[in-house]
Amino acid sequence: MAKIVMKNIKKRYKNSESLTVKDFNLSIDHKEFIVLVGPSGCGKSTTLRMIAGLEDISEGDLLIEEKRMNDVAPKNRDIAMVFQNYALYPHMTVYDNMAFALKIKKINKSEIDLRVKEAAKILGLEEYLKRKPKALSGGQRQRVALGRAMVRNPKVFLMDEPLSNLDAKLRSQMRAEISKLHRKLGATTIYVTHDQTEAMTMASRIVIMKDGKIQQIGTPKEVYDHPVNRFVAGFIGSPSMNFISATCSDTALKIGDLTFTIPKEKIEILKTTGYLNKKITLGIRPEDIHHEPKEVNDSNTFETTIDVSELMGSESLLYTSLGDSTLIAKVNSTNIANGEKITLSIDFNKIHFFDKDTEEVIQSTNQSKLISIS
Amino acid sequence: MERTKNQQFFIYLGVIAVMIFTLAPIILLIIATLSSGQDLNSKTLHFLPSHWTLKNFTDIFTAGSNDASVPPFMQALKNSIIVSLSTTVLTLIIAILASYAISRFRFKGQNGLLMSTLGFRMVPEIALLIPLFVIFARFGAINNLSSLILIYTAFNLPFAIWMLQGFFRSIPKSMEESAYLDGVSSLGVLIRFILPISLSGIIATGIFVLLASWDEFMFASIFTSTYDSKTITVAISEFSKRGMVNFGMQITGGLIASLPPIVLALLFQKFIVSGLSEGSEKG
Repeated sequence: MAKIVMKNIKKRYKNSESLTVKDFNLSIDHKEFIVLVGPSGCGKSTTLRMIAGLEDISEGDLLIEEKRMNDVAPKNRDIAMVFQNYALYPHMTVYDNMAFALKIKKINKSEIDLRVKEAAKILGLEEYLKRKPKALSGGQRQRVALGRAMVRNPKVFLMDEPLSNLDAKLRSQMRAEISKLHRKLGATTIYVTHDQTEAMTMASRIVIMKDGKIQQIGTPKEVYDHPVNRFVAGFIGSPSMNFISATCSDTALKIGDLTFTIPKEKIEILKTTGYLNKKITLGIRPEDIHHEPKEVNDSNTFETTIDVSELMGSESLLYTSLGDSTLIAKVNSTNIANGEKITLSIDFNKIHFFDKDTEEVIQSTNQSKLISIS
Repeated sequence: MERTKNQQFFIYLGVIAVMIFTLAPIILLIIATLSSGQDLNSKTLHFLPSHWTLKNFTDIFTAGSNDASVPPFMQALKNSIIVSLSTTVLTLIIAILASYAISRFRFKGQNGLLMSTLGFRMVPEIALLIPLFVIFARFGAINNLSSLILIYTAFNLPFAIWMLQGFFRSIPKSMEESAYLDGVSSLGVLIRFILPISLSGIIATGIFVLLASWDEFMFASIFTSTYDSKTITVAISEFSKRGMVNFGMQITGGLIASLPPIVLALLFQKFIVSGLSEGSEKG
């Protein structure tokens, strides 16, 4: 249960010109579940490894419980880490794997036994304690890795893509288990993943990274509702947000040959920021596009031909085009055929505007205040 | 796929042919050790001796005790055991430390070091025979078991380092990192994790080194001239001298010399075959 502060942390690998992690600033509270998310090579794992002490910190300060940890050996940082490939000790039984760190700390045997058995009970590993890792399935191995971290009762849990080696079904199951575990143990957790679903479902706050730089920090809802730039908007949410070129006058929004009427507040944003009648990028989430079963001709609808319709079960993904971009819509109708001509409506209350060049979000000033506070 | 009876027959026929080819010399060797000198020296070829005898065995264990011109086989056997075991232990200790460092730590000249050990291995041993002899002679280290141990260690190290660093590299790094986080030191990681996990590789390497030094003849024959320091390969060769060929002793010596490697291979085959590293990562 610890507070972690990272100040201007930078990482430069030997023989490398550029910084792998550029100026990382984050303050993590007690019991928070922080997820570092981003595409591969964005520096998220490096950041985690610097916190663990497995990589040197080139510049900046790492504070755990207000103590500077930069030069403290990994074993003295009171952290436990779960690795992507589990990193179990293959020559030891499950029990010994979990008990090992405690044995090194010279904790007495009955205490070790108590803690290992308790962890095994929580994780459902009781009947496997005498087995070697070789004789376990992927999910069980992952649970042993978690158990090994749990018994140490560390100040901080670090997890480096712990679920990416599991199959989809097991992954969602373990996702819920880790969340449950976090609520139960209440330990500060830093979790690295490239999977936005894991980030959205587990995090108390998400840190989105790209090219070694933090793009946005916020709760899952904040980063979903108020992405600060096109990268974050495209990364969070599945399927990805649609990005479409458009221009907006003080009366209507123009996409290709189509014109739409959009809410006044939205026009107001463009007006105050000086983007009226300029080319902008429009961001529309697939789930904000709806199928209109009856032919209507509203100011927010358009008629289109569906290129591909993918049935997902309770909903469909429709691939079509709007202006000169492809458009993906997630609709509730499940009976739309490929090539069918239908009417779609866009919920313009939920659209986002981005600068065409900087790709930053276009927002009114009081809105940006709101984001920076959170 | 089920095999027909015919197919099975031919497969076994092939197996039997290979077995005869590989085992026949050994069977002949065993028969010869149980034959008398007369049979072995006779011009007509016998498959089985005219009479069976254990004389070769009783002779070889007392060799040299009455006749100073015959090498004392027991002494040579003892020397060989000392030399090959010491070589193996010394080589493994150095190679384990060296290859762990090479496989895990980054330092200047790392690749150069690794390549130069390999390059050293490329030099034919015979090219180094005379220079090494001169050096050792200057230091008065001829006729000394420890000089053989040193030379064998030097020649076996490149191979052992290459073998072991391959094994060490296959161990996932994250397992070691996990151990560091659990509070183990670098040396502790080596002893508690790397050694037990790569035990099969270490034993296999050790057996190769042991056999190489057990079988070595060239250096031993040049570097030793007293019975106190001669190894078994040299002793066997000296059962035959100018004007005198003692087939019986030579063959019996050969049989006895080949027993330890066979026993070792049987004893450790489980380790040589199995890979203990399985299961650490996703399987």
